[in-house]
Amino acid sequence: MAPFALLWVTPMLFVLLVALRPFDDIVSRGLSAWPGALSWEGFATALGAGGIANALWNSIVVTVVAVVLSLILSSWAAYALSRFAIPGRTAILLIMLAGNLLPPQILLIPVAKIVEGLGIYDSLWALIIVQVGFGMGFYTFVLHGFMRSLPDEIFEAARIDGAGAIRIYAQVVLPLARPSLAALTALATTWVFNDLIWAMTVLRTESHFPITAALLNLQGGFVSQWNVVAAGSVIAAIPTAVVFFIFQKQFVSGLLVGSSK
Amino acid sequence: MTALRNNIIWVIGFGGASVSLGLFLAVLLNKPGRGIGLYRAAVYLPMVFSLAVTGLFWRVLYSPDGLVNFSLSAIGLGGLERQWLADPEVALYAVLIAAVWRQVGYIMVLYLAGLKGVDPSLEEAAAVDGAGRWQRFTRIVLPQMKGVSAVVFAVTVIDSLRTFDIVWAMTRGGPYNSTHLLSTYMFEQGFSLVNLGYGSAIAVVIFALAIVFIITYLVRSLREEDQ
Repeated sequence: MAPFALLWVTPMLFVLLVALRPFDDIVSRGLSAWPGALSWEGFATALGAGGIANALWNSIVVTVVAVVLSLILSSWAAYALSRFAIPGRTAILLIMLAGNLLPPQILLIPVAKIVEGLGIYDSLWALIIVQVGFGMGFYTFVLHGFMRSLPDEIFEAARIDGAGAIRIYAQVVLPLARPSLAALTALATTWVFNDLIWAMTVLRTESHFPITAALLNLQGGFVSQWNVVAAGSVIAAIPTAVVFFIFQKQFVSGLLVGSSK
Repeated sequence: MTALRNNIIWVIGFGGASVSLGLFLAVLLNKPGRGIGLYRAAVYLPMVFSLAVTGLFWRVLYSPDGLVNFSLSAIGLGGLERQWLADPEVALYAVLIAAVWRQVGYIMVLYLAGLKGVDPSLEEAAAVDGAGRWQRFTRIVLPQMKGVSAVVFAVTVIDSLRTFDIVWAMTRGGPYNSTHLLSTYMFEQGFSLVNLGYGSAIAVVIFALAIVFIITYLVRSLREEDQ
């Protein structure tokens, strides 16, 4: 077991070591040598000249807004589809889910055209809207499955107590759905934060790039300055790693929702 | 055409390697023991990195004096050293290894959950009857995880058709188009070369391939919903 774990961790440790070495040390002693000295030089260059600090901020804004928005909207959709007799609701649900499973590449050209038509091309809003639209199908599907499993008696009781549909949603359904919402939040955060393809489709200006797209530029701009490239990718890896370690349980259960029972 | 051929290699290589490794590690890490959580976390962790990050990590490893070449010469296989990402013969497989490194954790999560649903008494009974470890695994444990395996299969194929970021981050389809998958080829045609018609045509091909598996997956989910 230990050798496998080690094999898995080695690439990460190696990149981390490269990121922490000054450029001169890499040039004089070789990339794979044990560090002769440590410095923050790579991180400083990546954050400043490499534009990673700005890109990180863009990513955080897009991720937070997109995750919150899509979970609110999909909890509404799931509530409606699971608790009200809407004609064709199974079909609606399946079409939404199918849209999420499609390889995003096939939607690139239409999405680019639509975003241009709306006049929001090259703005962070475009990216947020696309992320919300694309992710909602899956979140709705998961939340729908959960809300349908709630016993009818709870709803009866709330109705007898005089609660309307909105009040039931806010005071009964949402609190009960908290574990599912937590799992989805952990998942959605990493998905949105890690996305590259949508960003490349709807954004053009470098100062609007999220961190994934900025990393590719960094790689082009600092060819063979391995410490800068490594530092940039470590910075991009840290937020999702933190989310993972804090929400490991929710994250794993999120991966299992909708895929195995 | 190279893109289609590469995509087929990708589905088989990426699917085969990540599923067999993921299943193997899941079985290995299923027993409670010291530091098991730590080992699991080590394998999960790459899964949360973006494919772009994974791509850059491995670019560093594959660089001419990077860790891969360094380790090869350290264990006396210096003859195998090469420019992994610049050599059309091996570039696709080099990218594939990076993608598998990230995917194994996900497959392992799915199979670990599947193993929880396996009834241990059946395996004990088989052991009493004299079945060997391998026999118990293939005849008793695997059949009980049919459901998980179906999901893993669908997820793997869909993921293979979606693969884009990691190839783009590592090689952009080069050298000499040797690592193009359908998706990167489509992106290059549609966006870099603004050949919208041809790009859309490739998109339709990807769609036709993907929809079959998506429908299988949906039918399964629907059946579970109804239960």
